[in-house]
Amino acid sequence: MAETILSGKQLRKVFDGVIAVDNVSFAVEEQTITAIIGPNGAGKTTLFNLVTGFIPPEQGEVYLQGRNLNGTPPHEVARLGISRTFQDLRLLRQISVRDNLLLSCPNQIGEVFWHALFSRRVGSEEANNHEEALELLDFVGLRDLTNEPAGNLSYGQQKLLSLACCLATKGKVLLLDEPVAGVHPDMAARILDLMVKLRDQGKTIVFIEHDIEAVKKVAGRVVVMDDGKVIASGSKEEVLAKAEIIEAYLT
Amino acid sequence: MDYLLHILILINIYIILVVSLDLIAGYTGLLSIAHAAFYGIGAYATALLSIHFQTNFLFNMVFGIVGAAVLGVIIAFPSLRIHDDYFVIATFGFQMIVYSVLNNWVELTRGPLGIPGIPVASLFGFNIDNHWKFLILSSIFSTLVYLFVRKLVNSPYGRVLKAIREDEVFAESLGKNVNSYKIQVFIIGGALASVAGNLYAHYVTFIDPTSFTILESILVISMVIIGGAGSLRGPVMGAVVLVVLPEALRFVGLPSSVAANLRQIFYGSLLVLMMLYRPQGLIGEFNFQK
Repeated sequence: MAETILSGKQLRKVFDGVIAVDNVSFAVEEQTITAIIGPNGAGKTTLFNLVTGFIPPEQGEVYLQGRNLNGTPPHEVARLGISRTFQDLRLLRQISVRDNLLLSCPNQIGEVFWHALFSRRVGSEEANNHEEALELLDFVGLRDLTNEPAGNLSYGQQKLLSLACCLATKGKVLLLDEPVAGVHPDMAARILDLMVKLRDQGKTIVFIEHDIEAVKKVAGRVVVMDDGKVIASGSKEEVLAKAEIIEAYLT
Repeated sequence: MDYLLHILILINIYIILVVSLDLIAGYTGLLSIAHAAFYGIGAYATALLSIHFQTNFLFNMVFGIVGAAVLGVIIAFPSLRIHDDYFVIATFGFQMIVYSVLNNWVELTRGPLGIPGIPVASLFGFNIDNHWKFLILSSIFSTLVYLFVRKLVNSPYGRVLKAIREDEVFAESLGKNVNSYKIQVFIIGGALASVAGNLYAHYVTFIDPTSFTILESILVISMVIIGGAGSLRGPVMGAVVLVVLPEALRFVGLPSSVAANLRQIFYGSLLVLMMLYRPQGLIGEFNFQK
């Protein structure tokens, strides 16, 4: 039995009277890929926001390796090891692909005021981070575009870049919000392959997805949400076998 | 000759103001119209200390920096919760408060009468008592401030600031403490602006609250925007243009009352034209039209 790395207990969030997330509990095991599926407005992205601290839950707790994350601001959550991507692809589009990755590197002394001005270590740190950035670009296959402004990349390439940024933060848990939605099938296959590789390298991945084929391909476990509630969860085979869920999901 | 030197000294003082505001508004995207408040704090700290306690130039500067840093923390606070237009309005409020204090706390600041007789700057027993010497002093400080900010914005620290300007949520998701950076930037930018106030007070030897009104803030913002927010050479160019061009208007032969009004019209139309045709400024990468 693998260890639980991330869990939530009875999370609840209400927006203007609409219950976005209603008593949701979950547990994610280390080195697995979990898919969250469900119709639009089911509360999937809100759940990500609750976990990463962008929205405080009204009730319930989030635990990362046994540590209660309630009240932890998002940047702390990121430093503790939960990295995320966004559905609406957040990147700095004016600056180069490389600079997006350099920005994503964690705990840089060059980002501390005093060191930025006076420390000699900043140069070597930048050089190291640059090396890591290139490795990550090799990994996601964007090496050729290192110096290109991120905004010049195709939609699929931007998805790859935001995955790379997410990796650069060195999080153990990756929360990917629709990593393959809207991209060319070849690109989608590439991204899904990367996800499997990352799991094999020790990462734990939770992703939100609408494409059932993508879910079938990579997920180990599946969580189905509807109307803020978890209506089914379990192994992929179990959940997808339940015809009614597929139906709820597809309509 | 002194007239030319005077213009060059003013340019130096404005370079300090635009570069420090550019750090806050151009690089971090926090459009503040309270910059004259920091400038005023520096000038009043200098005036009061040097008159009442005969303190020297560098001591006054340090004191002004500390005062402006405290004000910086206070002004930064709304930026943690509110954004864009609302934040601009909040900084407008702070600007009005500081101006009112300078104008109404008569026991301390003599209110609208201003403070005359500020001693000239003296550095290591050397009096900076003519235009040439002051030009050298102000050039040293404007260069230092420029190099300081350039080093900062070109470092990984500056990269985080630009990330906050472009997308706070993204920066936060990457583990950057956005709130802390915003407060730091206001402390640094405010402290640098107070240096300009210190120089100004020692230079003109008489200050009153009218030099630190919202109009002054707007003038500095105009310089930044016209030159190009988010670059350093741009705002410096903006400062040069907006100091020199109105002076040039004097030589067109207009009566001074007309020239003064013309100056305001000139700034205004220049800003409107820039917003319409070149929102990123003469040189610059960031535009406020989002």
